[in-house]
Amino acid sequence: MADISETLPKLRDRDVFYFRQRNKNRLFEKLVTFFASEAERTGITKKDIAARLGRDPSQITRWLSAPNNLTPDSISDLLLALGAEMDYEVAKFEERPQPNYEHPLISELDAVVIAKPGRPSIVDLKVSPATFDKSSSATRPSSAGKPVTIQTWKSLS
Amino acid sequence: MSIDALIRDKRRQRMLFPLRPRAPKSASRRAMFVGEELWSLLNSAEGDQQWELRVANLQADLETFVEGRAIDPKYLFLLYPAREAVWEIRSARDQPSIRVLGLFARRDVFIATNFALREDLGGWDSRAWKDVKRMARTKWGHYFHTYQPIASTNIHQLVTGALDGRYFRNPPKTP
Repeated sequence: MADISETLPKLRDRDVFYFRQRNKNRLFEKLVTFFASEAERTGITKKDIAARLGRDPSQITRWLSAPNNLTPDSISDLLLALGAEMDYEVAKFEERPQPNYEHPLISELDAVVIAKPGRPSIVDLKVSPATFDKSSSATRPSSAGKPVTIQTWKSLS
Repeated sequence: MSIDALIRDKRRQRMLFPLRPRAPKSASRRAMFVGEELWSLLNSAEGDQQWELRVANLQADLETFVEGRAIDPKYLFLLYPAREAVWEIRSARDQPSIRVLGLFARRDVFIATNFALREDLGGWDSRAWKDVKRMARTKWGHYFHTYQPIASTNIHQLVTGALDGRYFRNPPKTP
């Protein structure tokens, strides 16, 4: 079998991080929505879930507060206490069906002005000094030979 | 001129930019238009890993609204006083925590005017909070002149698919 590792483009950090957070947000939404519907349907509360799991109610509140508080184990525990589990499917981007609805103000856009994964999206933009006057920046040549601004958060605190 | 026509006009003038999901074959079920500064941040030059992580997470968090996902008051909150109709979207899961301020042009159409680092804002009645809220209103006026944003404490009048909850703060009790 041919080695394709050298033909596949390296993923950018921003794309990797974006899809990680997106995954967490989507999972979190499923859980919160399911909990809300079960709470409305059956009257189950976070306290009930905590009792079923032998945990402190504040732990359940924490899990249902933010996507980053969840782990595979806590997701399983929460759903089990609600009498459920996740069903998974993997969707390849190219095989995923095109969505059949988009907000009219967006669908009418003819020119795509956003960066898509897989395309270069580094733009030579300096963030407004009014907003990021505390941020540090440095410049280096980009692979295209143009200078790009490198942003860091380290001096924001 | 309708509010939609004004939004189109500001988009053509590159004063407002449509935020669209980066993931392939994802749809914008709600509309969000962001101001130039936020757009510049989301499309900023490559930085260190911390910068990349924060920008990526902010984009993903904003897309929660755009993709029509269920939202709750921990994500979207009406700032006090409610009559000013300034809302915040909280991208609070990483440091620094970021607040994106904006107003609703109509149901499911959010105009993200400005943003701030949470650590710079202090308590909810601080001068810094007042300043960023005033900035949001000023930018709204700059974009839309006499058109008023939708002012409502009923989330369902503003956002399709929002979970029930308390999306606003009660007025402070007078002594």
